[in-house]
Amino acid sequence: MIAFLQRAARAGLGLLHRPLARAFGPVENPLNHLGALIIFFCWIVLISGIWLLIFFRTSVSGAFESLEYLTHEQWYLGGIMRSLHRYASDAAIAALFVHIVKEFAFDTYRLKRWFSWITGVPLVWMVFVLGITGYWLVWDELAQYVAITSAELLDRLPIFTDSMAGNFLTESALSDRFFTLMAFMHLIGLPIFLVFGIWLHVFRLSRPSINPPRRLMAGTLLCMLVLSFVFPAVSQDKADLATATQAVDLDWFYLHMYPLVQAGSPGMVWLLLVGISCLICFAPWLPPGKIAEPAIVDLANCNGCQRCVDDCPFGAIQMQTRSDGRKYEQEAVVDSDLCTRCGICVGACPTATPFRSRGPLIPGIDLPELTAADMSGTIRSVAESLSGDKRILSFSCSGSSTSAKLRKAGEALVEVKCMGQLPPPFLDYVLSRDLADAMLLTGCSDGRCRYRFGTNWTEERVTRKRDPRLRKRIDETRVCRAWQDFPEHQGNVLKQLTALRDSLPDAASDDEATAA
Amino acid sequence: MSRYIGQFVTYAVFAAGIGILSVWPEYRMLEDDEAFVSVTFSHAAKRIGECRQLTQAELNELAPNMRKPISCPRERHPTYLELRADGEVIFSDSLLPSGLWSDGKSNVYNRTNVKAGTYQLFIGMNDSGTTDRFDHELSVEKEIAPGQNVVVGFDGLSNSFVIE
Repeated sequence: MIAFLQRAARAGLGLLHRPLARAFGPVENPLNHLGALIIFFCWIVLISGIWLLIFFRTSVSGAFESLEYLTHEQWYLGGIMRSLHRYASDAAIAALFVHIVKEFAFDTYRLKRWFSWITGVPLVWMVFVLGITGYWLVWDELAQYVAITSAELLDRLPIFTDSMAGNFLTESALSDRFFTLMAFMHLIGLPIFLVFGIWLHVFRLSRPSINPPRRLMAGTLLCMLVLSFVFPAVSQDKADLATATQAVDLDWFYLHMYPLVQAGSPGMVWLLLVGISCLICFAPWLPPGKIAEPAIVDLANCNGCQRCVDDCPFGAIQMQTRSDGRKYEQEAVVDSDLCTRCGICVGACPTATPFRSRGPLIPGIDLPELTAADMSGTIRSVAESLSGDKRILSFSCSGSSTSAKLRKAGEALVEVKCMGQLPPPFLDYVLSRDLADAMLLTGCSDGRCRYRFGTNWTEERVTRKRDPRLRKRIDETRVCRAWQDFPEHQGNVLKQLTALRDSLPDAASDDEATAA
Repeated sequence: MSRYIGQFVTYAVFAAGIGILSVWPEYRMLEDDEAFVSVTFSHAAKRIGECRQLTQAELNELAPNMRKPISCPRERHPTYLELRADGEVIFSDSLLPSGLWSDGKSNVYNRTNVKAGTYQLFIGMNDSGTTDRFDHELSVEKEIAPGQNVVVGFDGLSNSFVIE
């Protein structure tokens, strides 16, 4: 069931991803910066909200009038700020929804990655409560509807002695202090918790992406500004508690659950909300999966170089004082609670080299699920199946769609957990030992590495910008990369394979060159 | 160039989606010829029994610091409420007292849609546990306009219903 839903979600996102990748390129593709975009929208909401706060009056009569003044008298600034405030809030919800669907679709929320997933649940609640209290403060007909329906929902909880909804049925029952409370929640209380929640959400990630690319920020802000000018946010008629609100222009991003209160009951809505939240919270363990062994450090081979610490995308490795008395100052320690078993640390380890002549291949840090020795053995056995004068050995992330394509096409393929797991000396080994004539490296096909930095680090290692670098004696053109994260490497993986094969010299011409 | 056109289209679709869904489609709670009749108030019903003088034998069984000569039950009766429009019951409920010891007020909040028009509104409440009569009741002829919110409350000081 979950696998089916994930496939469906991936197919849906694929429909969005392809045109967006063509329009924005992989680096600026909004789908690859959803979390950062949500934070950017929050910035717009914060800054525009500060402007609104300056003019806002927290009273029953003053709230509506002060916003009317901003919208109509000061439309060029206050009105635009109000529109930005609303539209950026709505955009945050849209991005939030796609963000959740994407993490679910690509299975990046399970097992050891549960922390970011679960800490996102209260964030979603907070964002919704912020939006709902915001609509409340306008005190127009929509606010009246929101106030009464929210109060009906809260009345269902056994926390109030008197009916809260009764306060919104007559003018005499409503006091200015209630607006002060709402304003406090909307302007100070919830935003503080939201900032703390965002910090917690990205706490276990190293190098979290907080800001989207500048051009994407500029484009999004411009888009919101144009929308604010063309279609400014306005209030509906002023709230009148003596009359019943007959129809409202509902903000469906925030208030989509509210009609259910009338169609069903407040209890049903609570059941739905709590049920969905619980389901999301338990999702990382549904079904409970077998957790592989985390990366292990072999102190006999660890020289404390710290490259694994630098490259780990989840901050799962720390350096500590040497415990084995060897001459190095520090040693790496893996936190098994944070380790996602991606193997990127193995790719960063300078001791993970198949050229080693003494003893078995045991690097300073290794992944028990797929050790460096396993990779070396697989490479040799797969390479044995190659024949002809244009032998290409492909490497791919396990479980990726490019991997499936290559296997289906009958290509010689070595799968690794993540491309970042493949240390550059292995590439050197393949060419220098004449196991193949060229190699194709392919990563995750959705345009974003499943383990965040696997393709980035591999690209930088191959282009000799990051340690451990590919040795200079290797002809870089023999190591073709085909991943969607980089514009220069995009395209159909099979076509790239054919192009690589065509670019290789024929055996006959090789012989002639040798003879000459 | 096609890339910039793609970006422009993306931003335009995004903005249109945000702009439209932030106000459309309209949600209608009441038809044009409908109104609400809301009942909301808190009321402490009568206690389930009278206070009584404890006998000396009963007092002797209590700890010295607990020997109050009068014993009063804390629990209250449930409050039964019935709202009728032209004789037809449009809302009725039996409200339990709040509190762990069932000694608090009973709270009611209800909204009912009615067609606009003139009605003989009747509200009756029973808070003493009897079933043959209402302890408090009010019957008024009320003209309800479309979109009006008629609020039925209970004034605890005068012990009578109020219809606004």
